[in-house]
Amino acid sequence: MLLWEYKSKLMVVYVILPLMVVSSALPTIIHPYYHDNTQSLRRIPTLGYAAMVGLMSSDSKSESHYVHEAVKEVFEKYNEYYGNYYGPSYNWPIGISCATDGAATLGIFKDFLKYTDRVHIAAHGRYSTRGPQITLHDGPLNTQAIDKWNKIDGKCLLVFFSVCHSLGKGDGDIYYPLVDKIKYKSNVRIVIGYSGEVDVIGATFLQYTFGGNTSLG
Amino acid sequence: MRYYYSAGTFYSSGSYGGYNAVSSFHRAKYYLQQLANDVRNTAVASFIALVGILSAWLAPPLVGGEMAITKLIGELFEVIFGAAFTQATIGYWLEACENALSAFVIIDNGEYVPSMTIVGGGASKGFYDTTE
Repeated sequence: MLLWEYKSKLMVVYVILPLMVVSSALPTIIHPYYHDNTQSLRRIPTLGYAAMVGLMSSDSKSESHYVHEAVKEVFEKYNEYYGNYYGPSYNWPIGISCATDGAATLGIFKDFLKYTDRVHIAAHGRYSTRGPQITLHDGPLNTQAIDKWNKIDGKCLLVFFSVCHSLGKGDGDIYYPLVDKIKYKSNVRIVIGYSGEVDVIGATFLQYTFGGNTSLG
Repeated sequence: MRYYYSAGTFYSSGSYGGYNAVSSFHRAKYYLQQLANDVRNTAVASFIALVGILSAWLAPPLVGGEMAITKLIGELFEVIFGAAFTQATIGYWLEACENALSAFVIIDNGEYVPSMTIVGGGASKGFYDTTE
């Protein structure tokens, strides 16, 4: 009789309260397993929630700017068609961060390497005895400039140079030190560019194809 | 550990299909090559025909009359102007494509860099899973 009289209180003390305690402790209990799992997932970035591209163009009045505009259009179209869903999904719009003319500096390039997933540079370039010289607003991007950088623990995995001579002087010659230094000083894994001079029309076509039919990376 | 992501995660492998940066590079080259071929094979012919017809239509009034000589001149216009226009426009585009193709270079160590865009299956609302 006594038990029956106090059944509600006993239920609270022996059933509900323990259940609440266990429930509240559940995240702590499973966290190590959950943590391990996410760590392994992070080996390959999914780019799901924070996909961002950095697009640079050092001279908006030059022909090379057409390539910049083409890349921008590719991502705008992508967002128009696919990136209009903000719900609990991976199909979020790809963020586009642009730096043109005076904003296309070495510092911004480093920032893009740090905070964006892909970087595209449309600029003039030339080949000297010291390797490729990519013209940015405040000076050339070259091996000497990259030597002065500290290690950038960034998100960027791929850099695309729509720049003449960015990867060599042409005729099959490929200049590796610039790429090696970028990869050494950042988390970039792949660099795409041109060996020798490239026609801006062809580069625009190619960039449009690269981004439009497949992806920027 | 193998990773399987749905189409919506921008990365997939195995039966899900998908691209990475390297395959994107090769596909871009392939598409441009196809574009160049298409331009070469079809656009040139149609452009010659179009310009030729236009030239043949314009030539007789310019030289006057409907005599045989005017028809001959019209045909000459068709050939010369058609070829010249083709060379000047299509030829330039072809050269530009071929130049870009020959200069295009990728440097990587075989690392997998996933695509940013969705692949296969359209804009499915994704999930991901891992399997050993």
